Amino acid sequence: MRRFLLRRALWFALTVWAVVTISFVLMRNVPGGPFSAERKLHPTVEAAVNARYHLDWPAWRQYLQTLGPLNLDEHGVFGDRSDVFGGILALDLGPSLQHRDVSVNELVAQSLPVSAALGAAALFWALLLGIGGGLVSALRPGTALDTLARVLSTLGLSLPNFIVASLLVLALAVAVPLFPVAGWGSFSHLVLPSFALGAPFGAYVARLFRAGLLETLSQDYVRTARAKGVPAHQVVLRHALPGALVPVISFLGTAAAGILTGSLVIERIFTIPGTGSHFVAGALNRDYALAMGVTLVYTVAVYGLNLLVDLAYAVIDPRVDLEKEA
Amino acid sequence: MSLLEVRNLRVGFATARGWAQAVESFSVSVDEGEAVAIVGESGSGKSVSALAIAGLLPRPPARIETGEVLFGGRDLLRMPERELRMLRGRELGFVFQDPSTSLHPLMSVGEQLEEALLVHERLSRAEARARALAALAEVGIAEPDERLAAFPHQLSGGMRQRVMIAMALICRPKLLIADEPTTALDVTVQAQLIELLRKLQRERGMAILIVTHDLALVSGFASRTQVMYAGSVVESGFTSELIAHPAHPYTAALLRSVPALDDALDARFGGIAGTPPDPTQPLPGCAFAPRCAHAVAACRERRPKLSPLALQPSQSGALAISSRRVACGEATRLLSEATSA
Amino acid sequence: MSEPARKSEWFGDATFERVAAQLGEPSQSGLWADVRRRLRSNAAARWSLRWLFALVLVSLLVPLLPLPSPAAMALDKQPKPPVAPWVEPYNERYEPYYGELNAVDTALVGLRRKAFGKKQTGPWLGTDAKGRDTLSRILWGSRTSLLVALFAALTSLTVGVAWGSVAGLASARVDNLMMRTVDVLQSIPTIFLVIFLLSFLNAPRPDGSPSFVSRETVFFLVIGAVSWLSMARVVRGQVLSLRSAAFVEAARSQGASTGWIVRAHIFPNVLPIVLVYLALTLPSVILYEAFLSFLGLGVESPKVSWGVLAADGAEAINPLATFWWLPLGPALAMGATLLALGLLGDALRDALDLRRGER
Ligand SMILES: Nc1ncnc2c1ncn2[C@@H]1O[C@H](COP(=O)(O)OP(=O)(O)OP(=O)(O)O)[C@@H](O)[C@H]1O
Ligand code: SF4
Ligand SMILES: [Mg+2]
Repeated sequence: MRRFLLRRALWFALTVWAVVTISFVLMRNVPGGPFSAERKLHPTVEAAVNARYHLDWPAWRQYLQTLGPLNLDEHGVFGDRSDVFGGILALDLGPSLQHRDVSVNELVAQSLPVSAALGAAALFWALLLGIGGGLVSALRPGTALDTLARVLSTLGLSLPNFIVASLLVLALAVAVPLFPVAGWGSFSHLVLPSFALGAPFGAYVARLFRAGLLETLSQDYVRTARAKGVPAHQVVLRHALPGALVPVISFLGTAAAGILTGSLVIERIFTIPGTGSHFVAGALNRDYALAMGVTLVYTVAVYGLNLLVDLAYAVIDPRVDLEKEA
Repeated sequence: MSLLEVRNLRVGFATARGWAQAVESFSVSVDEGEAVAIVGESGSGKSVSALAIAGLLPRPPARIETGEVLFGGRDLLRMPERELRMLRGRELGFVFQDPSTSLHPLMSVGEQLEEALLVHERLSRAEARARALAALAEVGIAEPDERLAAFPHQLSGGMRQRVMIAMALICRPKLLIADEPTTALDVTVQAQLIELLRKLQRERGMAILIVTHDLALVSGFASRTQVMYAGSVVESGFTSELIAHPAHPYTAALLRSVPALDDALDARFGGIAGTPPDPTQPLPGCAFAPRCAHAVAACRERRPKLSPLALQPSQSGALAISSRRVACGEATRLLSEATSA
Repeated sequence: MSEPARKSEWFGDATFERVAAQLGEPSQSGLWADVRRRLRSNAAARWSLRWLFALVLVSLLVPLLPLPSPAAMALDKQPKPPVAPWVEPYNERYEPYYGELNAVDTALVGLRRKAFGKKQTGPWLGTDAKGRDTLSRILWGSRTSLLVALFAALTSLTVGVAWGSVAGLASARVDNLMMRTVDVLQSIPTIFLVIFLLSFLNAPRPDGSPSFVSRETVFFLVIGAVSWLSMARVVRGQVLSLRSAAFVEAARSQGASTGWIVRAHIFPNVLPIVLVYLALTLPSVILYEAFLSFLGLGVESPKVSWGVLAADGAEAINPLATFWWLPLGPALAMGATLLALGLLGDALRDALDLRRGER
């Protein structure tokens, strides 16, 4: 277990390092980059950038400072020592290049709860639709209900989320105004975007779960349970379900990453003030500090979720040996 | 009246290649405390018959066409699923062929053992645990309290099958159906497990219906034996007599194919030449005819019925055959020839 | 699970790894005839193929069709709703404005003008806020999607297959190094880096000089860069398992050369999974393009793509005035194409019998 976590941490550090280094090199060396001399920044931002990035320092020193956690800034080391640590490894993402007087940390802190709520709701839809659809399909294979669920799942798999979103808004916000067209703030604002975001993954979960359940239901150990006199519903819930959930759980890591990606588009369609919106705005307005900051935050989120998935996997299946996997 | 009485069971499967008549005619009776064996080649319908008795066949594709299964006087085939479920595990125990796939891989041994108890008896968890512990000890598992927390993949094959047996017996059923309980295991373990079953059967006065394709293994264990071929019972009688004087050519061939019976000459040939008929294409006459060395023209026209062996009183005295039923038109002639030779 | 955990946000990954896990038997001689027969007997696959074939044909020949040009604007203030073809089969307002066209397309457009003159179809699928014809834009937009798909297919067939085979055949050290590279590339949430890169490299120069690479080049490079990773992984896994397979060992022990083994044993057995994975790559790349275009990072006006159209459509939705045809047209076109590719992929997997567990 400890070796597994250690290895994961190592990979994580490597990934973060790669993201930081690549963007450092790009930002400073490509003509027209954010720090190139011709670029005009707002004076307030300019001051913040100079204070944070020390563009007058030699490159190696800038790099070390950006990476952190050691603060090479004399003020940090010899000053009041309140900010002994600096840079990304000290969880300081620096100032925004567009928004005056706002740091990337602050922008992320504001918007992350919004995106997290959207993502969690989307995951909820994915699981609800997937598990529900898969269950209905697998318990009555070959019936009209099964066929319907499978057709819907194939459709869901082939429609991108922004198209699902457009169609949903047309149907449930414009034609029949049940939900708001866009915006954020109340529960009903959450329904359409999270559904559009989660549904394609729900379609895939339904497929995985149906196949998994059909497979476990035909296993010898399910027959053993019936031979013991276990009631039918308990045979499904206790004996067939856990095995069928294993592929679903290992898909959740991929789904979570996909939901993060999809939120970029969904937040834009529904004008939701989430981290994804900031990222897109940052990328389009060439606010590289913001864009890189959000990339890092999402990297952390994806790593964390994957770790959870692997731990859950090991909890469900005692045959999984995390040490060996690592 | 016997504990289990199966009459004219007929089971088929809807397959991609058409209707497969897996069991054409199966009957058996097991008295209380008695051990009965069913033997036959692979694919002869032993498992399907055994599963049909307990209502464990997957339906669809399986369909039970005719027959009755009387257990303690009640017909299991016409019983509501709820009641049948209450019988399964409590009065009717089942042990399957492959312990590595028949135990739940994600549940601990203890959980699986206790489940049967919790379903059928009002027990506290602690009581269930104590019973599970005792059950493991009874089937000869060392350090049972440690094994309770173990998962199936942490046990050896023989140990897994002991767990299966403990699980089937934990509610003290009147009848245990064991479908090839030792086939997946190696030879020394096979003998140990059969010995264990015999011991438990004697101690508890429990009836056992044991399915196998190895007559030698059960010869000292089951008092009576039924031989199956292509979905039908072709011969039945007392095990020792059956081994000494097989009447059906298929039984004789089956016995010759088992090397352990010291028939050194024929043992060289291993299995029986030829293959059983395709269950989707039943033959009009005797199903064994294409492989039978004694077949005559009549064999291919009419299917022989399972009927008592018609021997002269002097013959049956000499052969010590008491109660034997055979489905072969030539059986009497063949036996007479064998004794006169 | 390999390390680090799978997490590429590409939607197909989980699927293809399952597929990869199920492969492993040597192919039989009659396999391909069998596959063709099974594909042909699958109605969904037949219709999918028809749709895709028609789409490719139309998008190749679209300059020839008597459509309005996709970029020609009419300064109406409002999008115009669809008009049924029998109400307004055509009008005479054709204006040959296309932006940049390559030589072939220029020739085709010339032919079209000779044949149809100023005739063009009516606004059968409506027009957008700038008066551009939706049908024409959808058909022209299909070219971007198909081009991107073609490009990604080529990249994953060349770079991905080569990378994977070399890693699978090379020594353990080299293999390790090559696959770790793939791992790291795959474990970065690519989309973020991609967007980052795109916006960065696309930045207009302050002195007005053109970007040092064109935006479209960057776009294609980026799509290519992410599309070969999974293919490399699958191919490498398959090659590795084949290398130690009994029939390859047997051939080797009989003195067969490496080249011959690759040709006779490795290649035919890698082919099915390459095909299946290709069928999974295409829809995800089309999605990827649409996704980036949707965010305004894809092709530039006057070029169109389905993603651009979907974004325009999404923007046109508001509760006051319903321009439903703007989101609906591209949604249907794209949905049908992705559905066709998805069904084809499923059918291919069924035909190659790689889906035993998933039925
Ligand atoms: N689920 C099923 N679907 C279709 N046919 C089946 C199914 N289960 C069993 N059969 C068929 O029923 C016939 C009898 O099978 P059964 O399992 O009873 O044989 P058996 O005597 O137990 O053999 P073995 O010694 O191999 O266990 C076989 O021909 C088999 O093909
Ligand atoms: S009936 Fe005829 S074919 Fe059948 S076993 Fe007897 S002798 Fe052989
Ligand atoms: Mg069997």
